[in-house]
Amino acid sequence: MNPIIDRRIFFKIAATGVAGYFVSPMKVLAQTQNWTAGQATLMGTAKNVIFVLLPGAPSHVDTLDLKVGAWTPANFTPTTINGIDFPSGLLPMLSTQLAANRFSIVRSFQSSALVHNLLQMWVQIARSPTSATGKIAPNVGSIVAYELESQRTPAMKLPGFLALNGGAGLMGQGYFSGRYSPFDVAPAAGGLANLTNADGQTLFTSRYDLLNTADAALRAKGSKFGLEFEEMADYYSSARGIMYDAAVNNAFRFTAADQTKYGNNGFGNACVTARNVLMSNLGVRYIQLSLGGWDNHQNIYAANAGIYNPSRSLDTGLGNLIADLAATPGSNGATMLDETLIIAKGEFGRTVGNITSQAGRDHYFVHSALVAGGGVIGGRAVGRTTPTGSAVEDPGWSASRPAYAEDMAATIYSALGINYTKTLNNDPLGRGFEYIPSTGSYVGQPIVELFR
Amino acid sequence: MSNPLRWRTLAVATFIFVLVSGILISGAQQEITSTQQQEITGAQQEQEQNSLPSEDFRPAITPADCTYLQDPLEFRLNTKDRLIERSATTGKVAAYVYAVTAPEYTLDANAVPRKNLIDNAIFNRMAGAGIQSAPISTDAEFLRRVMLDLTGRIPSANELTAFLADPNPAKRDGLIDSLIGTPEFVDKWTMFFGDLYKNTSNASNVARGIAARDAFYTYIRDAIVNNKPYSQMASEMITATGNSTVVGQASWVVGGMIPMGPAQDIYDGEAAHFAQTFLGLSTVDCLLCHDGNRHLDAVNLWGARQTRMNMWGLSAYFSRVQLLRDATSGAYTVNDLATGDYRLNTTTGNRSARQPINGVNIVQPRNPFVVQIGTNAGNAGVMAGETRRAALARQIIPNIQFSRAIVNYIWEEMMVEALVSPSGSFDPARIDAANPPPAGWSMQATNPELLNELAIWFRDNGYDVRGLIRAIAQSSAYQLSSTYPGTWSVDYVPYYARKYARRLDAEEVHDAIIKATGIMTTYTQNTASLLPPVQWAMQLVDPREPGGNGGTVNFLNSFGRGDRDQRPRRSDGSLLQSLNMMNNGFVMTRIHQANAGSRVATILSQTQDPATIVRLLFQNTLSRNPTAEETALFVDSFRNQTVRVASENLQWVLLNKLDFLFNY
Repeated sequence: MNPIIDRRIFFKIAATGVAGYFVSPMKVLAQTQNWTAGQATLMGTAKNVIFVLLPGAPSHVDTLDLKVGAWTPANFTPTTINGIDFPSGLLPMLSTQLAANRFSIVRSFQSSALVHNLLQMWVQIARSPTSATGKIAPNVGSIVAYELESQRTPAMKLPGFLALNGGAGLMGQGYFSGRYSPFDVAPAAGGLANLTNADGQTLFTSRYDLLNTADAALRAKGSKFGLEFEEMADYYSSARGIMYDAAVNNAFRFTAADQTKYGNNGFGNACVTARNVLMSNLGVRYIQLSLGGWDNHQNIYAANAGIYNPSRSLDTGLGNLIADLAATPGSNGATMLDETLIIAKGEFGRTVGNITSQAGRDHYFVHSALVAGGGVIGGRAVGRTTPTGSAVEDPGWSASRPAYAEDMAATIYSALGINYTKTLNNDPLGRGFEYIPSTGSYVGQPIVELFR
Repeated sequence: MSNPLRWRTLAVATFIFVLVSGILISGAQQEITSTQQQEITGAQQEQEQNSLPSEDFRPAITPADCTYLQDPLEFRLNTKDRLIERSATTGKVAAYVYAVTAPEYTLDANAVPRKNLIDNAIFNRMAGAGIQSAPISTDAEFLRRVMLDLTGRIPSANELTAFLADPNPAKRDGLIDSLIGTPEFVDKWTMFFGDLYKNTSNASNVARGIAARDAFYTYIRDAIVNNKPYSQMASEMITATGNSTVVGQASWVVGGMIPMGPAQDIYDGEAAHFAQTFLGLSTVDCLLCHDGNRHLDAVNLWGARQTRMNMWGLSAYFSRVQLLRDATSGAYTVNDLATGDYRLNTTTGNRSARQPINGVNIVQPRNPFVVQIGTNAGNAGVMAGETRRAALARQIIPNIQFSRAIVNYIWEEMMVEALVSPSGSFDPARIDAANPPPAGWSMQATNPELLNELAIWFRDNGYDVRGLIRAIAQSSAYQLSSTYPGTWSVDYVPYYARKYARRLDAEEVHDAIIKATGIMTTYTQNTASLLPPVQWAMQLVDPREPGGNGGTVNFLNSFGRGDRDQRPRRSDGSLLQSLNMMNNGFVMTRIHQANAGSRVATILSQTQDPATIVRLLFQNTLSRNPTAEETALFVDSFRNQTVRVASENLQWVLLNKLDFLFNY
């Protein structure tokens, strides 16, 4: 069997993070150094992003890149929709959405390693965590929040980056100011915790006023530096701003009916909250959700277990989210789905062909991603793998190579109209922080084929 | 714990992958051992990276976890930005404190006594640069600061008034002595060393398990209680054998475990773990994958000159370690095997291939650390009758870098600004003032003379951790005010011309709220743990506890507690912190007269006088007296309110004042 990837290339890729940042300590970086200045393709078709991380790594040949074989359970009900093989039995709601051209699939994704933690971090920061800037890199969501800061109005009381059920694996804001850190909350039908004070609004307000009077000198803005202190004061006023606010309360509440419709589980609750928060238009522009349970090394086809459980949650949650956003008007005649780029992606794929001796699938480089909204033309597949799903046969896009997490990030930035070739020169390492790393065997680019 | 840049050791990702059916180089090859440093050429390096054996269908090699700067989020090098931030944060707190407390400060350098070698080094350097120091802190400032740093607790009103009233001119030294060795001191420093040794039940590279975690916690705790010399602790940990659930120090060895690879991955993992913990040399981990040349040239001068072969010489000391995992309990037992070698015969695993170089295919133990001040005790290599790990401990502990690393870690904990930053990433080629680095490179330490003198002192004084803590706390450098009445410049930061402020750690915030309000609590830890319930967050075994209370876990995590694994402690703010301080039940159930045992209740049972109430609440919460302005403001707030409501308002306000959250 041919290897799916040349080992030489693999190690070059893997070593990218190490060898890529080679800056003489005496070199002074230019103020605005864009590595492909003038060559960035900015789609500018999306206003918001919902990124669904699927930690554990879903089996691509059982989901988005279905390969039917003797192993395929009958209840997967393989169906061909728009020329795409899809497990309608496993993911019924999503198959309906696919038939309605609500999302597309990129089948030519690849990871550079097969290690859960490493790649989950990689996907969130769009570079190897072991590279030099990997140590300080912010989550893609933090960069989005930072870039879209200028679009905030005073009515936008919520942070730009929201994480729901972020968990221990959530990547934070790196070296960026805490202002761009993910607001990591647990969705609950009753809304956000600690948004009200147990002693009542009147008493709280008078206390808060007294606090500000007493602490005025300490909370005043002075020097433009002084991060720890100023941040703390800022957080107090931001926190005060979202308390006792009907719009904020409503944004985080959901009805029992919605809870049931979305699957009555953590992920479903997060999906409905994401919908409500975006509809509330309170400043959140990037939402990260997380749905695990995909690490099916054993018994992948076990009934009511294996891949079925996370698939059910994904289907009901994401399927309804896409449908509801498609049915909700946005601005200028578009729907909310038109304005919201949704990506669902794991950190890598799983082994192909027959299942293993443990009746499961193990880690594998090749995988797929679901991409919807935000200007993406739905109902299509970008890229193609071999008949078994073992290798990328046709990358299907302009870079003529498999797609990586960096390409996904570039796609997000491009969709939002953010210049992904940007380098910030305020990083503490003094090396320059590139949104998309420019050195190495590949350089992240937007998958523009999704939008055309 | 005092510093946002906390990450001491390598974060090793989980390595789970499909193992290639081994195409390992085996067979009867002549065993050639390395006896001297091997230089590897660039061409050889290319070849090393690219010549891999024919592959199986399933790719299995994962890239090594090479990191430039070992500490994730460890991003504040000696850059202007960090110094500016250090200045600004301190300046804000100090300015406020100065404004409201208006102590009788004068910028009189002669008023700052030189207490010990720390002061000589610090103030000589300052004098040489023509920099004035801040004055000595007031008694109230010092009391709160030293109690937080040494015991993780704020002073009570009684402790404050007693200290202020004490006429003894040597009372500060007396206070320091009275704090060292107390139960709170033990709690705080057990937490510190738990962080340094990354004691946790479930990390990304190994699941130590609750029992082994608890055994390690107990081992550390006992060592602090008995003031075990640090050299002995290190030796015990490096050479530990036994069941990790019983022999606590064996739990440290478990922390270096690297799964799903050849044995050499484990040896390398232990070497990197060892170098990080005991030498502050994170570059060793980089060098275990590749030479420094062409990789570390811009990062670490020492590392740039090292080869992978050199570091294999270090790993070879661990090449007879066996980590045996019990299939049922999951617990590890650590053994030393009678035989074993570090062989260059791997093509799979967590690091790039290890193949013979210049005919060498077995690497003998060889200590790669030659940078030192003083003598390198004993024979290099392994002596007859000595295990390899014992040989390593014997050679390394007298090495001055061993002392530098721990001195720097503890200095950073108390002084906020480390002598070498990041504290896990020393560059031995830029440490020795007698051997300065070439042009373009700066000396790494803020005060190279102090670092080396303090390291030598530590070594020559029995590696006495309490002694070191005492010496730092006694120094005038530590006792300087955070207020700087002159014109501050960010260039003064490396001179320690003032004391730097830091936000309280998560456990300190929690415990300060408890102590200020007087309402205790009890937490049970993980159900599998046999350790007793605790009353203070500083007593929790690791930053994922208390298992029995999710609300408290969330509260503590919102203050950036980290997990001793992938996520370091942080001291930045967040929206959740503010919401918690203002509204969380943890705070709100402690501010009312009706909350049984609360400070408000106690005070109101003694007095109804607003001025007295204001003073007592200030003393209990902020550990200082209110200024005249503050007294006026808050006494005024008692008008048109019941005394009860006004008192409760004040208690809430004081807990939410920003200076409550900072150690200045």
